[in-house]
Amino acid sequence: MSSKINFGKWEAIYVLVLITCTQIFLNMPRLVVEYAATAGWLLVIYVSILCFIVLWVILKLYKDFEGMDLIDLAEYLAGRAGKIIVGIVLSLYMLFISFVILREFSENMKIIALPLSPISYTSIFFVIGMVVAAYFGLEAMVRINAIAMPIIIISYILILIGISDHFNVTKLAPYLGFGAYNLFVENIPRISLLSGIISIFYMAPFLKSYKVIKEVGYTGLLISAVMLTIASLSYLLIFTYPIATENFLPIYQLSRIFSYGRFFERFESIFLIVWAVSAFLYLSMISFFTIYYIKKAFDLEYYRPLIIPVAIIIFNLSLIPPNLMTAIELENNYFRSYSGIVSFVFPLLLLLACSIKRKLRSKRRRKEKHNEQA
Amino acid sequence: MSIKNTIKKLLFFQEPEKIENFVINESEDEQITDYNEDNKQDNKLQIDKQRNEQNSENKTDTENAGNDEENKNGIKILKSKKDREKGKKSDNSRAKDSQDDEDKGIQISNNLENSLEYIKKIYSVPVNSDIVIREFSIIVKEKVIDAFAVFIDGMTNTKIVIEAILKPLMLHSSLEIKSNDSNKSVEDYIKDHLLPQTQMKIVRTYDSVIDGVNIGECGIFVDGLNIAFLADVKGWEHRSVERPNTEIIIKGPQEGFTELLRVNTALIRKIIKNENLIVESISVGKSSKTPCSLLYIKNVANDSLVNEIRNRLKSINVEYILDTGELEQYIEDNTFINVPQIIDTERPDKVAMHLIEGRVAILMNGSPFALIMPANLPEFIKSPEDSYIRYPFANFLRIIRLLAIILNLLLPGLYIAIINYHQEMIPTDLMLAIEATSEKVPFPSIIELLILEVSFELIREAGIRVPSPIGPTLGIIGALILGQAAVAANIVSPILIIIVAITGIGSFAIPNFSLAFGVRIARFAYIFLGAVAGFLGIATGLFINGILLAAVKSFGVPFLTPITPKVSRAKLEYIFRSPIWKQEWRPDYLNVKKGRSQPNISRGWVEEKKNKGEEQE
Repeated sequence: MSSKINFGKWEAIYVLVLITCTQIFLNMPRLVVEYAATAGWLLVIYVSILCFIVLWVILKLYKDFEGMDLIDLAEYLAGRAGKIIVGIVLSLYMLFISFVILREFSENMKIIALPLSPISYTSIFFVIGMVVAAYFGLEAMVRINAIAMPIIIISYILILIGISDHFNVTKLAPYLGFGAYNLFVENIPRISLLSGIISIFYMAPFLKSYKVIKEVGYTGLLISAVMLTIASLSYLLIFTYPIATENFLPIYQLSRIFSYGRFFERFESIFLIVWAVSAFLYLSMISFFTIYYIKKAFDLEYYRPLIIPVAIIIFNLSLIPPNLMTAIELENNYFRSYSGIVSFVFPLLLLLACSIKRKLRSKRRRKEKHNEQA
Repeated sequence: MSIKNTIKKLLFFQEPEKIENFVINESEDEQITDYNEDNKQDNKLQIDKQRNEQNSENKTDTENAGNDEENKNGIKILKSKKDREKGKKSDNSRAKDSQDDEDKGIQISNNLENSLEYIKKIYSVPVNSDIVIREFSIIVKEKVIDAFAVFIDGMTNTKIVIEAILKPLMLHSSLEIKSNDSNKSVEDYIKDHLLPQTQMKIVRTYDSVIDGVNIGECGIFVDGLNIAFLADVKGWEHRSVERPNTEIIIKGPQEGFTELLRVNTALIRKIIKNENLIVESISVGKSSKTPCSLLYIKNVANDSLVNEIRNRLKSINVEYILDTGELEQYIEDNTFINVPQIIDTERPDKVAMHLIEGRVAILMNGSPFALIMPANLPEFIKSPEDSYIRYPFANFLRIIRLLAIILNLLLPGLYIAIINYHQEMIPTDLMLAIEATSEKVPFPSIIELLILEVSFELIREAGIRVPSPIGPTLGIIGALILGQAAVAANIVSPILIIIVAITGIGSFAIPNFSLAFGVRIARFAYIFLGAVAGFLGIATGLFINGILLAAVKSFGVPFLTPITPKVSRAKLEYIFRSPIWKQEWRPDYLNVKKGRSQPNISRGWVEEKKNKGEEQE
């Protein structure tokens, strides 16, 4: 793995969309209903606008640090110590996401398709996928993601079209849910819903230029926002508020309604393949970045020896929550609520500090030059 | 000790070898401007430029010497191909430049006895029954000189040996020959007056004589001369140009390659009638010295690609090599993956098509298959017929083939997954029907399926080996009677027969044999995964398979191009075909020298009609 890896604009956009939108298949449509009741879809739009502003600020600050990722920035700011601290924080954050999401996906698989199998059995498949993907590296992952994402998006949209005759607009009332204050003020921390967008900085060293990074960031955000809005909107259009908060596996419930004639009655199982593939892609991408950050923080030459140990740690951690509810609680109460801190506030502060240091440096240099000339 | 090492290897991290992967460099003179501009730049200019470059290269690098000469060889052969009989005779190219050989090996002695003894020893003459050594005398300038000819019976055309070598030397040498220069040496005299054979070489070492004789030439030693004459009199038995056996198409040329290199190169030259087609000779195998030809179009193919392939070919250090199937395994990037990374074909038109696109081909003496590289997945779904039939038909066929691959790969696995884990997907009536038929079968569905799949593979393997008159009968017995009997005996359920039959037919719809093989093997993995975890298993298989495919590269080109990484021009063209007048660009990922293959408007009459219509208005 070297910085020689380069991938195109669209491949990077698909990675962004993947990291941001996989939550649709988990709890996200129900979560937004819990946060903002019938205004859940408005919440997504509002949060996306907030995210756009934050991203705009971050990208403005990032302009001078083209091609650096967060660890490089930390190194610039505080040398080796900073690098290690940031590396550890980021990789722990990724590790947390990986094991929680691994547990949830495995539980979902168990509930939908393999009710008689133990949870470790379903998760071992995902772990194998993670290991293989990490072994072949980011390039292969990104490539295969670029093929799979359009298929996932199209099949998802097909399902939504299939159930569209069940849509009922009156189910959206009251339109502002718990009220404007709740929607626009109390729910600001929900920007964490879009925390995946920050993964653009994980990929920064592999993208060609600042201009590409900017394009990827904005396009990725736009597509993700549209996808999330469609998901929450169609969910709310089908289920009324009380039922919508109770559904476990929201999108699966949606796909169960799908029927077309007598032959295509229970087609949600096909959706299972799409679902599993997106889980594979998401998990392998996140676990790869976990490994990549450890490698980068400690200046290791190879990342491959880390794959198996990290996979075993993720696998074991994922088995710690006693049941699915605990795992969901972990995701909702910690990851979806506070991930904004790691993914938005943290880079923002880092970038601010970096640009201050840069300015101070250039001032000092100018002074020195001035002195020399004098 | 070895067990200890193996355990150590398994448990501890080994520092990977640092390998620099080959990347196709952008061609400096890639012309992506206008097609007309391309043409305006007169070909001559370009050729001159390249010739100059070559000349300068030749001066500095002796290894590269001979490019031009080889090219001349190719042209010479093309000319002689006008007469097919002759073409076949002039079969082999020089294994190496004769000049190269001059430096090594034992010099030929001017004592005929010594030479005779040496040749007899080398060829173990009394034991080796097909080596012919014919001793005779020549009369040169009224002197009788002893001489002998050596050749291999069966490799040479005896008629030519008699008519063009022995007769003139033995009989005509006694005639009075008018010569302007009476001081001519014996060597020149024999060469100029006594040997009328068209392809004649003078060599100075025994090794070069032996190399020549081994490929069917006739060596002539003359007493008092420290040189030998080598006459090209090849004439071995071979197959004539026939229909290709493995790639039959309905529309389009029906010629296939044969086992003779020069016939094969000529078949390609016959299609690409252009002097920019280079046929470079490289011999592979230390002992077999099998002649290979590297084919590319000089002003299209990427130089770094050609160099890489040439280097890989030259670096092969093996004693014997027999077929391009072996060569493929020596030069491919990844051995362990189940997809081919080099296209092999029996069809000259397919090779020509790829050469025009900017790819490079390798032909080998003794193999009716050409290798084309680099390859990517969509190339394996294409058949040469696609270009010969109309646009809508070709795309229909492409969709059918894609479907064939998907069915062949996934159908049995999906069936097992649905039957075992996702029964709710099956409509109730169908489920009842399946249940009714499989009720009497004592095996679990996976065993049922494996029984059928394995017997299908058996029939297939046996079908190749049975004598051809029985072949179709075996198919009928195997497929129909066995299937029917298996159902009647309650070993398998009838729906399974349908599944296996569709899968089998699907595998024959894949145009490339190697790819079909890969899919055939992967199918069993999907059956296993479907059986252990239903759709989750299938998804695992798809994901891992996808990752493997995305990681493979064939000569610097990612295997999944142009699906991913995306290419800038003509995106759909590589998966589906666009109308023939719209195929304006060569594949972008090959970094060719000439991007355009036709101008924006290649149908001149459309332009004319448009202009006329405008005038009328």
